[in-house]
Amino acid sequence: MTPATSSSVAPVLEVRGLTVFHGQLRAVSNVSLAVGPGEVYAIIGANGAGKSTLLRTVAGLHRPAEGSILLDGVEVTGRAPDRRVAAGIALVPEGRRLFPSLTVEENLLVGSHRARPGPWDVARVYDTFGWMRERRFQRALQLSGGEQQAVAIGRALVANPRVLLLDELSLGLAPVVVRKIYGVLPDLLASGMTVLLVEQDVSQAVRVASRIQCLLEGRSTLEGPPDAFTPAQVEAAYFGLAGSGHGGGAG
Amino acid sequence: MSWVNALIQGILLGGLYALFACGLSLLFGTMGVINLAHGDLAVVAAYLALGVVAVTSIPMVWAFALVVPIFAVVGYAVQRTLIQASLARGPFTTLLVTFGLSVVIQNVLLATRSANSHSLNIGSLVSRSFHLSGQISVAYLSVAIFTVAVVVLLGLQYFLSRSSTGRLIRAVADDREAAQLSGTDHRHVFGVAAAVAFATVAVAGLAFGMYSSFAPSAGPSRLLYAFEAVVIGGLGSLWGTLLGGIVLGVAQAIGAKINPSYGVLAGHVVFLAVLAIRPEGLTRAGDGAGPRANLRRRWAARPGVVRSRPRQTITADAAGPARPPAATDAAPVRVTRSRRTSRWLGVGAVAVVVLLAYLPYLAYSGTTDTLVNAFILLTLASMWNLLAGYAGLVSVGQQAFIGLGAYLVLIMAQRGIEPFVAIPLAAAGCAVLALPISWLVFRLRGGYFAIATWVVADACLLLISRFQSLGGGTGAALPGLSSVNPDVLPAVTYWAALTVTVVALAAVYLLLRGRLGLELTAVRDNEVGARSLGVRVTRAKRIVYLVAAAGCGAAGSLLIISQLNVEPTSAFSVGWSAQMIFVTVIGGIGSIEGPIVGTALFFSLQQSLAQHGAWYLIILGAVAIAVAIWTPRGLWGLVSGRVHLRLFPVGYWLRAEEAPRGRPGRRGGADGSRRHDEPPAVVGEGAAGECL
Repeated sequence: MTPATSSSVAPVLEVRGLTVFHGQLRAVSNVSLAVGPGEVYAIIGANGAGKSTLLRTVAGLHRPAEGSILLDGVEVTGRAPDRRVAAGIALVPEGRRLFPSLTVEENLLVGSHRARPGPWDVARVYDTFGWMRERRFQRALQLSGGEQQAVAIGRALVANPRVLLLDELSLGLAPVVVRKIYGVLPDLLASGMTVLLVEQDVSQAVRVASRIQCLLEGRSTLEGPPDAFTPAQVEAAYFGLAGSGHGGGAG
Repeated sequence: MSWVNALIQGILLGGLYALFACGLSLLFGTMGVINLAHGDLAVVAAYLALGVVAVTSIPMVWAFALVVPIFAVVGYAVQRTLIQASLARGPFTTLLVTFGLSVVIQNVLLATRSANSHSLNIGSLVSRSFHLSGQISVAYLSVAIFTVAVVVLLGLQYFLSRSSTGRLIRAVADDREAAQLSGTDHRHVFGVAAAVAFATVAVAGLAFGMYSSFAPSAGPSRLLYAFEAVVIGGLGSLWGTLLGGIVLGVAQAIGAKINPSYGVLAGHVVFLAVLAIRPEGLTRAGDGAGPRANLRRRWAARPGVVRSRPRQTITADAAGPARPPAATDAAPVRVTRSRRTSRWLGVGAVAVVVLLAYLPYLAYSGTTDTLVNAFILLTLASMWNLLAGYAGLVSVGQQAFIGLGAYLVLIMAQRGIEPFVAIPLAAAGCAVLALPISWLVFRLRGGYFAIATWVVADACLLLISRFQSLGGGTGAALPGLSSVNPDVLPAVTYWAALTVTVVALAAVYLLLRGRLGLELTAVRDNEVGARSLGVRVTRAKRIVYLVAAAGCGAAGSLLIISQLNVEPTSAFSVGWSAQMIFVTVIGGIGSIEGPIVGTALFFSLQQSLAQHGAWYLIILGAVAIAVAIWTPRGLWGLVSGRVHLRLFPVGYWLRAEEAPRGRPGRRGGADGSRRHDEPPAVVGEGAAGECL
């Protein structure tokens, strides 16, 4: 199945029939999606559903067994992660993954060393996150979790990606901080970016996304605009409850 | 006043050691590679300078300006090919590959150049010195080298902390994957780091060449100095390395002042003392404030030994046990150690041993003498295989116990104990001596453990050479064998060697079949998990270390008995480590059969290439590098992966009870084409240490 985008515009990012293995485990199984320009597309699902694997495969960290990944209609499936950054795909990895011994500014500079031309640079990141400018010479390790997440987003932004991949932004952060972090999303979309995000917190995902897809044990169980589904339907897809049309091993 | 002189000389020498050590530390810091060929590369740089001068007849100083950039290019190329390929396999492989490179370089130099020593002469600067006071004179050369060292260290510091490339190097060292996600081609960055490291090695090698003479075999001792400077100063700290170099230099200068032959030994003693008292080095790894704190952190975060396991070899079988036998619920499953083939192979092995025992009645002593050497090597290789293949302890210092075993026999023979009786006593003595040594060297992990064992071996050599009663540096003849009839002596020696080998193989087999084998497998799969389940990890490794020491000691006693004399530099030669490592790696590490295959191959290669001198070691080294990278399970792994032969079954086989008898079961894991409905499924092999 190839889900249609909400608009008739050509998708910026398209994933076709992606299957990814971790050893013998089929982590992602025949998943397709298409994200249009300026859209926020959310992948939801429980622990181990294959969400992060999907995102990491789009970023180039895993090689898919089957399927293809297209950016602006151009196939990027075989390219190395660093080449994808230059092409316009940037991932904010799960758990932030800042360079702990580098300062905030050095982290951002590493992020921008292969940047595409575009509106984002280090200064604009400082403008977006006001506190960052005066703490730019601090080591990334000394920041709080929420601050680190902001730097991680900034590090991806300065590469001026066409598609920004956000993996579990809310992980380990207080709800207040999560809301603050998601507060910058409109700003990104205004600069013409497209966002594909992974979120365990369904309510958060539904709030920001124009389209959602739910994964269960690597398979797609639900796809469409969030207002097309009742909470019960989403719940059934999320947990693989009876009636969702999914066999599988969940019980 | 001359003490002050020694102190000044030592400090200046320390600059040279620090210069030499920074490349080692840079490679480890960025990509976790301990370059065991570091010292040999420095020697190559000096030879290259000589070669450039000989070909172009330009002044020596201009040749230096050529050698350094050439080395940078070579560094980039070596990283992108050899080191990158071995990095993909894991840190264990990088150790093997750089060690192989070291042996290949030494022997290529031996084969193409002479064994004579050379030195780089740049004219008047070398010989001139100035007087600080009446008795203290300082050579211009020493001051110049020290200045160059400080300038290089400052430059390196600036490069890493200020330049954008240095920033990328630190980023990749911190988190390779995150760096990739930020658009960094980590392989290129590694290449650049290697280029810088090789350039510093070239500078250090040239400085060494001017400071003292060099020969093809000079590399390893220099590696030890560099390594000692790094550890004394504190791992990963640039200025700590300078301090470590100075401490080492001063120790050597003062030692040499006491007795000219104590210099290196004094350095080793200071190093071991620092390891015992302050293993984190003189400059404690601090709060991450230094510009190379990332390199430090990398060290601190390294699980060390467990990471140095031959990961690559696990994957082949690790996938296997995941699949439960399909026949489980249909039929009862029988768990066996051995299958029919193993039993027949076992019978065959006994027959071979019996035949070998009968051999002295059939063959000339020339044949049995060759076989004695083969048995010695097989014993050594089995011990190294136990250490590295099963316990993850990559030692390049087992020659310490070969030498100690030989000298223990000598000491006992001098006191009237029959040499053949002394063999088990010497083996036990080596195990006893290994205990305090293990307290020291177990403080370091992975590649640093490897070099520490090497330092210990070198220290043993220097120490033994000091005893005139043991023949000093020239060695001694073994007394006490005159009572044995010279006609049967070769046969008795042969039987002793055969006995030692059979006992060694049986000991390894029984160890791995028992609880220890299970513990070692658990540690290999997940050290933290094993520890939390109550496996005493260090104890298990220590037992293996002691057993390996005893085995190498027994091999050393055979060595002195078969040669009837002992010479310290050959008994404690790192060449033994090269042989046991190559034999094990080529034959198949992590299987008891591997060293046997490797030994057979080694001796046939040696027989056919004997007249070509150093070339058989060059070929052997190159083959070992290739095997380590491309077929990490060795030749035996290639064979057993196809036909499922197990001479020493230390794993388990599962099979359904009503499986047709005699039908070869399918093994899980390494087998590519598995079928879930195959009834006589055989899986889970490796539960007790097989399947590395």
